[in-house]
Amino acid sequence: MSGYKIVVDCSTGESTQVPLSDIEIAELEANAAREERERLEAEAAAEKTAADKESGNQKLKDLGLTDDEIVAITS
Amino acid sequence: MAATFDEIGSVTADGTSTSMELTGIDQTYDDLQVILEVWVVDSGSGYTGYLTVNGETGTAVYNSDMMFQEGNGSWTYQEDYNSYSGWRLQKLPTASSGISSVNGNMIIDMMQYTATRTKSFLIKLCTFRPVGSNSAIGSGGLGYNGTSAISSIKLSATANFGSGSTMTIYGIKNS
Repeated sequence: MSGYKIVVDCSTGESTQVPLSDIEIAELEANAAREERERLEAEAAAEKTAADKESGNQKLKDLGLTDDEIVAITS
Repeated sequence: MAATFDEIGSVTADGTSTSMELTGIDQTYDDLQVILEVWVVDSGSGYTGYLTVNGETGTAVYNSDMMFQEGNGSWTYQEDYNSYSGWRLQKLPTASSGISSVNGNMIIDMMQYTATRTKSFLIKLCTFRPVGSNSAIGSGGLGYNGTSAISSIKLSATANFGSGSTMTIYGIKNS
């Protein structure tokens, strides 16, 4: 990525627009990558929880429990 | 003497910058208040910004405890992290062009900002969209593990801030 920043010096009121430094760009890219990684991990965890729930419910049904009984003991 | 609340500085985005920074912050006040009214030029459902101070990078400097609720009440979220270079500000509203009612409104109180020790601050936010979800209402604590007085503040994202987005800081002097 590239980009610019607007900098205002409060002591003088002077406003300038300057390119982001390589360090600033690297930090932003690292943050974005970390956020995407965390989003994918959360998504995978949610999918696993949903699959575990479905599997668990089916096992209870196989034992003969009704849907109402399953709700009663799992909620 | 009466307490004072003075504007120290303000920066306004013109739609072509991914960062806004205020430097040379007056060190003679007791507390700072930072007011952000921002949106991001993007078509996505919400954007993440990062607030940094004193030009400091690295994940060890910043940590945060945040909680917020989706604007339509559908879910709540909380996090406790120290893995980002900056304080993470999620759910900044997006728009492809300027709409004055689409704004991420945040107020950050930086108490004793000139103290040369680690500091903790408060944030209140309402990243509001007039229609639909992808807004957030919340609050949190922002930890600063550096020991320098706060002399500059920068808000960054990986897309441009919308034209008219502002960051303004006020100095508060106790009576």
